Amino acid sequence: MESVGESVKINWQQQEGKGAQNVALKVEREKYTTRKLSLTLIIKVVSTCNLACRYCDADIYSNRRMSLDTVSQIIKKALDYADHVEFIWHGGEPLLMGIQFYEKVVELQKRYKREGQTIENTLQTNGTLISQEWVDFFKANDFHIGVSLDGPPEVHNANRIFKSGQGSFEQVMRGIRLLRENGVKFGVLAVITKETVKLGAKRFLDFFIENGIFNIGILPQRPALNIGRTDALPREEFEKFAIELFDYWYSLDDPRIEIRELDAILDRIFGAESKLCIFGGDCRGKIVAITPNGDVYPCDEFMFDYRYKLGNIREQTFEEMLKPTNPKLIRIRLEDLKTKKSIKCKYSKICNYGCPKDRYVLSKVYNEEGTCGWCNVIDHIYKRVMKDLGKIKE
Amino acid sequence: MSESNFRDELEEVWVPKDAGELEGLLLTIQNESGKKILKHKIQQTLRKRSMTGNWFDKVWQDYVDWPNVEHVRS
Repeated sequence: MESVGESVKINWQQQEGKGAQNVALKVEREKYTTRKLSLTLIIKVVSTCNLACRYCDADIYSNRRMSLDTVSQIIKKALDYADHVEFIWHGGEPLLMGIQFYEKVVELQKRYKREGQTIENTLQTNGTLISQEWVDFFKANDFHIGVSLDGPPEVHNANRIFKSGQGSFEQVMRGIRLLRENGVKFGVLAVITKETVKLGAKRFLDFFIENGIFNIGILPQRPALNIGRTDALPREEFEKFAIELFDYWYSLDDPRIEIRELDAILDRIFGAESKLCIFGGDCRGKIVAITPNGDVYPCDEFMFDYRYKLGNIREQTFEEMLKPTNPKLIRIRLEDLKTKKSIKCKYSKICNYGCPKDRYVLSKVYNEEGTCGWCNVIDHIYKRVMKDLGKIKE
Repeated sequence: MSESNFRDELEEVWVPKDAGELEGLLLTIQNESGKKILKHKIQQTLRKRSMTGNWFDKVWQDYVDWPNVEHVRS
């Protein structure tokens, strides 16, 4: 009988064999039968963007756009498959598709939605193209908006620039003002770069609070693998920043301020399932990303490698692609297992081993095994919480 | 920042074993000043539980080591 250590050495080809099929994911099947099926779709409706952010890995110089026929198939097949579907409209810059495209999306969702099903729409934008017309549409159709905003101008404009080289800060803030004044639900997503670290966590958070932004997500600048770039914010620097951010946020003690990742860590400490995918456990088969031509990948973080392609939505159903016995999905899960197995950290209970892409990058690009990239942050938060709950001494 | 030595620590990470334990924790800090974020997060967790009607007592077990040895071997 082979050990786990041996089994994870199986190469990609072998993993597609019958032995791997017999992994059969009985656990997954049980989950399907006891819980309502939920599916999150990251839909890359357009490849291009009106910005040319320095750290971006999107193929912005191509102009691939999703056809109405493809989006129609995605919506129909997703609603045939799952009880709850979250559509995350993504790009490139998804607003470049125009309002009519999304009006059609909403129409198709209404057409294919069955009784008892729930739908959520989220759109991730750079914010520069938000107009009153867009805001009216978002509000009327209950879209939740994520805006990419890295911080104050000196941080944001260091990377988030137009193709002319001009910074986009002013245009983004104008869009955010429109969202806020019209009561559209929104949050911001900030990429943490060396400029953010230089700014410091306190000034970073103060900037958002001063601008009435209370829902913030943070993610470290990652290497843009699909364009062959490996520059990124080192893990130690990100963790140090995140710890400082936690300390400041926690000292403010204002539950109105939500920092997505820190909130998620607290959720996990208190036994809740994480709303945030990176700490949510097994994301495979629950989250997929789709390219403008309909290719389906397990998350947009893995679009850089064709081996992760699960199929094409124009040719297959979600049921076919996401069934637990799909050899491609099994192969991907076994690949994930390789990067999980080196993590011996006791906090894996909380982080659920983190994001497969982060583990992939840390282990394969930076030769840093045994961490999900959040270990020190979780250790810090956990000890602080335990202290405040009286479970450990000062 | 010095790296934590948590990888070498043997003690278990505490997690609430059920909703009752979490409710008890809330009671102990309820009247303390501050700790608003903690109180809020505990209340939110308890509310989510009552909304979904689920309390995943096995939540850790569900996720900690999947697929487990038996499944990989089979």
